[in-house]
Amino acid sequence: MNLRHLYGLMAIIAVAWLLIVAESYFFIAVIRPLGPPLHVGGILSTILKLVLTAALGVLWVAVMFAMDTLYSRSKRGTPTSAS
Amino acid sequence: MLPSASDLLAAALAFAVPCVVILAIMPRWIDFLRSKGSTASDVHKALGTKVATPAGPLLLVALVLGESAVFLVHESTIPVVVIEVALVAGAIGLYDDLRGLGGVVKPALMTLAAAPLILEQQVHQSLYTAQIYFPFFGSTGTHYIIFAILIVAAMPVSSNAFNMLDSFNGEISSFTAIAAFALIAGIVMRGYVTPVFNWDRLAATLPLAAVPLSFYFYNRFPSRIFDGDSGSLMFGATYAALAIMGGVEIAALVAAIPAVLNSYYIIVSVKGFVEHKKMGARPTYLGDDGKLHASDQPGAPTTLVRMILLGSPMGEKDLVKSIIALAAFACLLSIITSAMTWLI
Repeated sequence: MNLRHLYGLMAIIAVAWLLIVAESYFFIAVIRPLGPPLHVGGILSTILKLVLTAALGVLWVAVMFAMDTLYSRSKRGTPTSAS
Repeated sequence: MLPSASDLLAAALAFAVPCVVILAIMPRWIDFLRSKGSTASDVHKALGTKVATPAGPLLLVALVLGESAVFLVHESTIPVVVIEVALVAGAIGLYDDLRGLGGVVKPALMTLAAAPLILEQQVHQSLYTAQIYFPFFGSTGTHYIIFAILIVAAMPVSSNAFNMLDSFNGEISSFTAIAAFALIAGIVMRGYVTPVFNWDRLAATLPLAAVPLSFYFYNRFPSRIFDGDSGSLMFGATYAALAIMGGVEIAALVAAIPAVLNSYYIIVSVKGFVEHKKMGARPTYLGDDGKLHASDQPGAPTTLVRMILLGSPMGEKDLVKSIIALAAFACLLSIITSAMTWLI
């Protein structure tokens, strides 16, 4: 079977994976040292950690949304999940 | 640490028992369902072929017997919890098969499948570690409450992701078998580098590979039987439970990326949890050339299949091969993730 027609979708899956790995690094290296563990930390550091973690999730979703739009347009301008 | 002889025996039984049960009983189960008129139209066939459904109850029995074999050898809590999760998810799925559940009610009910994990953890503290291991960079701290919340969230996400991928002949059975293989690879790597490791976690994962693999022979194109929601929801919930107990959550997430993306694109495009029967338009249609085409109706949901078919219509058999290729690619990335987490 020719896999050429799947290259675009494989690229989306690879980007999704790379984002998971990169965001893992950001979570461990940047967010985690922002303050003590949640159950003993102050409210400000707790909120900051939760907001930044949620932002990572939003970033992943936004990139996947953009990838879908790009992929669908490149194929034939078919309506996307944005429409 | 390396597995012992009893570990290997449990693993062999865990794989063999579900295979034997399904291969021996499925033909009779198909005949039974047909005799009772329990069939569904295969909407992707020109003739509207009737296919027996659901296989879910037999898949559940096979999984339970496989897990029971692990329990008999190891006397461990892990297979018992897997059975409990599978029973809860299978019961919800069976109700959906027989009576139907709403697009919001189904994921809401699936949170109940988290109860066996969280409750058993209160009794057996070693069921899972309340932390997530990331590739390269270490793990989070131990947070029991946050981890319990994540488990509750993981059950509906995983089960509905598997459920939404259950549309074409052999799609769910092949995808689940490949994803389970990624789980097994992750747990083997973890066990290999962990000084004291209970191999019952690996043995308990094997029925999840054996059940869909043997079911594939009846579910592949042209399908003789569909799994129904009782099968797909059980697969998804069991997959999440085993990933959590195996401590390979990130690798499991990576292996399930095709299913996660599929459900994400559907939810975004139809703007919420909507049952597929109530969607305004179908994502694909069967053309006069006998091939499946991506629908260009504005209200059609964006699915993984629709994205595959954009610009390249194909027959159902080739379509499922494409999905298997994507699942295998995600499985490879998952194995790399596990190697980055445990070996490097």
